[in-house]
Amino acid sequence: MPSFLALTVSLFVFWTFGALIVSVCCPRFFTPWPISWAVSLLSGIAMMGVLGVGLGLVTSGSPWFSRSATVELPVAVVVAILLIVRWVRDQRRAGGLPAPRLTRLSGPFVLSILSLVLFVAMVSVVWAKRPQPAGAIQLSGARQGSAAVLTVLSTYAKPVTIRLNAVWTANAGTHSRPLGPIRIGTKPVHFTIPVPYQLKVSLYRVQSGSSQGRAVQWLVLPP
Amino acid sequence: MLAQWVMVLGFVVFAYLVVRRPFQSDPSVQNLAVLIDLLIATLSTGIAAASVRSGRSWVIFSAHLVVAGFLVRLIPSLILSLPPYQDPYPYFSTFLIAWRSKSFSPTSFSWFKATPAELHWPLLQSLTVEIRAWTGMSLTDLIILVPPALGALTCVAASLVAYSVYRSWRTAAIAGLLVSFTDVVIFYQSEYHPQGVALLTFSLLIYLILESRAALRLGASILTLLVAGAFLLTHHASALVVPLVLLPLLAIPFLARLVTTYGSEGWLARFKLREMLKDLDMGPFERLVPIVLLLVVCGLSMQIFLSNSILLLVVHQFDRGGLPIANASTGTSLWLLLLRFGKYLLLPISFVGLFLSARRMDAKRLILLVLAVGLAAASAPALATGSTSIDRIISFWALFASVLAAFGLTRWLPGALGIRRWAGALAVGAIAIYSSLGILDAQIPAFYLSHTPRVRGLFYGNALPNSRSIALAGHWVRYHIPRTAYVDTDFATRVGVFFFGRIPFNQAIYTPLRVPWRDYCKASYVVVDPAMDRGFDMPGPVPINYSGYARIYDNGSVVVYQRQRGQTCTFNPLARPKH
Repeated sequence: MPSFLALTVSLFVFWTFGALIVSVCCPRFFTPWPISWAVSLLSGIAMMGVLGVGLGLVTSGSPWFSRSATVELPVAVVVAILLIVRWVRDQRRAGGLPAPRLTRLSGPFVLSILSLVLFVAMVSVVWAKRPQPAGAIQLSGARQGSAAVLTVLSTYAKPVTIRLNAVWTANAGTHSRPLGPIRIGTKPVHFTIPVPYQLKVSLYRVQSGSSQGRAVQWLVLPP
Repeated sequence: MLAQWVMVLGFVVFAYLVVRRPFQSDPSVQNLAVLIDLLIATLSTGIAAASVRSGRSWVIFSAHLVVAGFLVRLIPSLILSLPPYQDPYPYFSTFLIAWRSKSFSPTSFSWFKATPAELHWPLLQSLTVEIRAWTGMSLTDLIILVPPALGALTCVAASLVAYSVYRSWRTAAIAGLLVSFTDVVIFYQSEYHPQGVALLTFSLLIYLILESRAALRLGASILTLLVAGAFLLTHHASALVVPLVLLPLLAIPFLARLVTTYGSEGWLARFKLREMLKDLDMGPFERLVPIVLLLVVCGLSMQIFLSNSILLLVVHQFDRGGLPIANASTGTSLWLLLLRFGKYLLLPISFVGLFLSARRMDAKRLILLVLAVGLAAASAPALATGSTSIDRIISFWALFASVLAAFGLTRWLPGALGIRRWAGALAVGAIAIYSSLGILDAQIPAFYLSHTPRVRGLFYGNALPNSRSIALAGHWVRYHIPRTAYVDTDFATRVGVFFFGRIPFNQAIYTPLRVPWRDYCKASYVVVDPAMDRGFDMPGPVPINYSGYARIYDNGSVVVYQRQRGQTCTFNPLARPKH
């Protein structure tokens, strides 16, 4: 479920349970209707928090710990239906339910609702378009006997070109071995270097139009 | 109505400007665009609030305000893709531990040893479990979205309080607006922190206290008790507020009888005190009920605090540094100082509201004042001892200040100045300036403005952390550093090592100044962002010389060093004074 829809559903469940407890504890006490709606929503959050703690303690350690919360969703739907039925009944008793007419809605009211809808939509877009990591290259390695096995994993959506440079010191001299360039996709790529000494590997992300690239990671494997 | 459209566009453009930074190449243009747009957005919000006349228009305005408040609280996480600062991660780890062990009393918590103590107040974690079970939201979305979504509703609760006391939809709208854009309130509600939810339940509790005392109905009292329970279950430091605020209420019935018995007739008549206090003076049984209720609530909260582990947590809470942004006094530029002090505009205006409330006192106004005075009295010891946790109390006081200031703004300014149009404009201008400063001062300036100076004492030294690199390094740590290892970290990388790297919290060594530097020498690894750590602007830089250690990982921002066998650990005098 998309995050914003999930939040809306959650607020709906909070409001439903809040309306339930308000109508049971103090019916017709919180007036006018905007106050009643607001108290229902906020009480719902407090009540569901306490109910969640209670259910969590009762079902502690059992598979029902979080599943008990899934029961709340259908209960909320049933309660909402009951609340609507009750509201319709009350309206009828109070002199008949007036038929909805478009002429009742004033222009500014409709425009206000539209601006709210636009606001929610635009915030959803801001959330959807938020800067997210395009991907990453992860270099890791392990010793297997006297050899070193290097693993390169890319989480970029498109294949990227990388280059490795392995450096080790032996017999009073420094040796190096370039590996790559190689294009890697989403599957991990392994390199094996038969070096018994301390190995220092640098990983380069090769940018397009450049043969060198920038060192993005270092890894040192002990002997 | 036009104001609402401008408000919508203003806040969305604000989010776009600070997240995408389209004029980054020219910082002065970028910053000017941000400031002007924010002022337009808050000004239009102020006008929209001042235009509220009816319950229906209050509902529509509040819905807009909730979305705007949500967006403002979300911005740091939008920029970083992860929550800023450190607190969200330990709290969220307690949720993860509870979710995985299917219990609020987990038996395995080596990752975060304080989990059993934190889960004495599991309301936020409980709500997170429920939302996860209802909707299947991803973990990243839960940690980022849930607290701002709940926190944004605080404006509704504050409006309820204002409407209950003053019976004015406009005052209710302005009170909601002021509390929603108060800096400390935004700060606590923009991250996964139970205090943010505590502010919401506290506001509702105050409203229900006002209503249930006026009604003396059993149902309302039950609801009040339920919400009081929710508040107590939310946050350890916040739960302390309950007895401090509510205890003065006990004195009201006795005070009422005393005043009506011994007060001079002229004085009683002048302030209509006899009529007002008659509402508050109750019979023996009715008086007993709230006393028992309050004693139960106070006793419960004190019982929770008597546990040793809880006491330690509280001591730790009062001992550690609070919000550095409220305390940054050195190296701060003039405009930062202006931001700091401009946000206190609410206080003088709230005193105006307080004065006006006192002039036409009734039972609800008196209770509101008693609650506010109770909280102010409770904050006095914190002020006297110089404890920085005063920020927590200020965040609760924001509710009362907003309600009183809203009353002052709606009633006093137009009448007192005589020229109503200009007075109204002045009131809306004050609301806009306060809201803008509150939004800007809620986080470090670097979140909103470009090329701001490094300031010692602010979070991250006023630089944005490379959160994605920190998370990436944390994933690497998870698979390459043993869980038994001790790891030195700086302020920025600690969450990477602890949360993403799964190194137990007490083994990710980071302390802002107090721990002797030699404690850092028991670690074999150092995980830092050298560019940030070596500036020494961040709180608690790593105080040892690690540059000679073997660099075993480097992702361009975050580096992992390993101390080799036999390598000495030496103090770095540039980092901090030697202990």
